Amino acid sequence: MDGLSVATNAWAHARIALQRQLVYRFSNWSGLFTNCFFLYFRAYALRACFEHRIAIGGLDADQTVTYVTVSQAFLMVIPAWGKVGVGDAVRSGQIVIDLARPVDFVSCHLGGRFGVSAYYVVARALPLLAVGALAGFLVLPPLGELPVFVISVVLAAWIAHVILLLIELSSFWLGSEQGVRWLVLGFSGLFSGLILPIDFFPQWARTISRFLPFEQTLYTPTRIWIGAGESLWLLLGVQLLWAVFLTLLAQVLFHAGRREVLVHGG
Amino acid sequence: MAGDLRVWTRVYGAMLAASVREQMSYRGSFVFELVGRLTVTGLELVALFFLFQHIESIAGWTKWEVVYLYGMASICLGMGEALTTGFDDMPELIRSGSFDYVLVRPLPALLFVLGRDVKLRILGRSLQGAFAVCISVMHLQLDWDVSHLALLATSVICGVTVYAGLFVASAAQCFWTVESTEMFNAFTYGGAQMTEYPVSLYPGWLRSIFLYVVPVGFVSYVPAVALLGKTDPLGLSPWGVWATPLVAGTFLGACLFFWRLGMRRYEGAGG
Repeated sequence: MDGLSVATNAWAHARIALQRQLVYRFSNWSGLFTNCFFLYFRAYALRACFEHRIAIGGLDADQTVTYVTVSQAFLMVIPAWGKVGVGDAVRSGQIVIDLARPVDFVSCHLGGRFGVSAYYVVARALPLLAVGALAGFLVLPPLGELPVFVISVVLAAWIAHVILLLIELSSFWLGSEQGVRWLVLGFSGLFSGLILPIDFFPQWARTISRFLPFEQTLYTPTRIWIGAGESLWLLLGVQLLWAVFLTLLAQVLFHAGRREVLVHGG
Repeated sequence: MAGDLRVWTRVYGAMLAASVREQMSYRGSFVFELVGRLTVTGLELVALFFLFQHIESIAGWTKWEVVYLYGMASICLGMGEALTTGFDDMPELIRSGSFDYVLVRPLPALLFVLGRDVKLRILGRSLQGAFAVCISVMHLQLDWDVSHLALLATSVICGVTVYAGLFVASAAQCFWTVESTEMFNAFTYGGAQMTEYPVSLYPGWLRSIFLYVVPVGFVSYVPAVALLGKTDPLGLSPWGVWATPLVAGTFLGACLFFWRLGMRRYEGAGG
């Protein structure tokens, strides 16, 4: 199969996923409501830490609350949690239908997930950035860095979706991916910088974080927004490497896994 | 009425036992998920320790005092969540009309849904919370007597009551919306997130919601102030301790009333 048809298929899946999301409007309002509360809780709590000091881990109070707003805003665009249906399909045997399709499974799957992310940019990220700005929890980045930020979000969403896919692919061997899902959620909560900016970590934990993919999801784009100390292109390059590496891993696991499939019934 | 109550307790007990037996038959997946959930909450605690390497206190509360708050929030949320997992597929029950089967049982619908499925693995959060409370109490070297322990127990019961009430209300909401929504997560998981720190650090409007409307903050903060001997800038302290069970009970009552309203709305699936 040539690259063009892979891209066309992925694009079609993205459009369908986007349309499907648009149906659940009430669900999005309530999700937005909940996100706002989490944004306020984290921002006020972290701001309270700056009562007696100017900087923590190299970040000042404004950068820290901006960090909270941006990471909360893009949480659904760059998801750490979510059932993507592959595990269920493996258990029910439904996966054979996907296997029979003459399309590349991984790229179509990722295409669909990108559609979901695109929806959340409009439905979740932009409104939350507005809420954060109104509450005084947002400092805008220099305009010139916005394109870099956008590219970084795309790469981050890619990595996040591949991680979710990898979790579910484990069900080829484990039967249930539920344990792996929780384990990964635990590590990604900390090492994606969602709970606390990675800048606040002690040195040894930052070193561990460098070798994990989670830092490349929420943390890197958010850090670019508040002003990354390092070269921006280097950050993007590292993200791209992780994205490619994990995607290849997913391809390998998928093709190894399809040999494990045991379909019940006729 | 008293007879009914005895029968209900027995049936609920039997359902609970069946649910536990069922989970133990898939021991591998049970242990795996328990460990996974322990990791999630364990690393939250790690993040708290990371934060306190930079600061001595937050809104006047020291590290171990915040660890106590965090632990209590985890215990109460975890137990509230574990008790109410039967509600998890409420949307499915309503959409498919299976809720009809619930209604024909000789048991209040609420009790039946409650006992249908109690997921012990969710207790991981509570276990980890209990660990956090233990180490914090040890480090704080509090001079506690029996009355303090009684207050601690009351505090846990009130907390679990409020969270369980929230989960019931969240399920009841499905009678109107059919789909499950994240709205109540703002108060359940959000409430636990908020009360990880003293509520006094939040702005007035936000604080008031969580003290007086959805009293997750009230049942966390007020007993903690008394138990840890903190000074309370909000002036809730002496009277609030006595009011805590009342607040939790009233809130649970309101949630149950909401459930009743929802039940009245339920029309069933055809036929």
